[in-house]
Amino acid sequence: MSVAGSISVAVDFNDTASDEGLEVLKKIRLASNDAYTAGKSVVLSGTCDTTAVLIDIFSPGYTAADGQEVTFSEATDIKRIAFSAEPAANMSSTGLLGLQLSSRDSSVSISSMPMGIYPLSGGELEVKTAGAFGQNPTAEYVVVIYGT
Amino acid sequence: MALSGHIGVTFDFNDTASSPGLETIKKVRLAKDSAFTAGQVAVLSGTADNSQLNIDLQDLTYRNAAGDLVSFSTVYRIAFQCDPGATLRFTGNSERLNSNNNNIALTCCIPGDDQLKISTTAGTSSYILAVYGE
Repeated sequence: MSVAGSISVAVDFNDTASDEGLEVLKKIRLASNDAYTAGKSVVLSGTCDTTAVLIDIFSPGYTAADGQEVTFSEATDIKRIAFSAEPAANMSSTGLLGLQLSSRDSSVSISSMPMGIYPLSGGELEVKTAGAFGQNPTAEYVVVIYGT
Repeated sequence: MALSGHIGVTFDFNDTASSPGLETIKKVRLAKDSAFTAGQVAVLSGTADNSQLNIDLQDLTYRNAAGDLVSFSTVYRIAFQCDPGATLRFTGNSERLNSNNNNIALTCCIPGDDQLKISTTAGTSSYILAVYGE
């Protein structure tokens, strides 16, 4: 089995103003593109509601191309986590002061791991809708994990 | 003043395996590109350490192209880039994300929380924060 891939993120804005012959442009571009030539990738998807869907980060229930179940030995083996939901949902780790991301309208949220001294210490991710802030009670979600 | 821009994320992996006479590929691709034609954007950068660095999104020193101070009542997206690594969170703990080795971390935001904290576990880290909202 071999894994090759990339994760790219680009934030690009042009802020312009004009005033009697003067034009001003402030450009903001923040970008990263990271290539990976080894490791493991996992994708999980489903429907969640206000009751949390729990994902075991050590054994997330995904099969690799060689037919073997993908597992992670340590929480620190997980390097990047991406999350997308439609119409909106939240994903958090169950441990102390861990990861917490939200997504709406299929936007992709992404974090590097581990988070300092809090490397997904609870061993699980939970995905659920808040049922507040106008959120629908149910949502479709996708969680993608890259690790070693 | 006018603002236009986009935020794009692509997570793309090919997982391949082969055995005599058989090749298997599993492709994982999660991608989204969102375009924006209105709103406000601000960029902040600096150095953080393990004491909590507080950022009030209604009291920034960043000025837009028109020269006016930018203040957010609602934040829609936050991008966060650090080296070697730091954690960003809203004080209400609605969002908590991390950037290591200049990888960009990105999230959309729950309305109503406009106070951010940046901290490292130990040592110092440079950070860049890009905020999009109204």
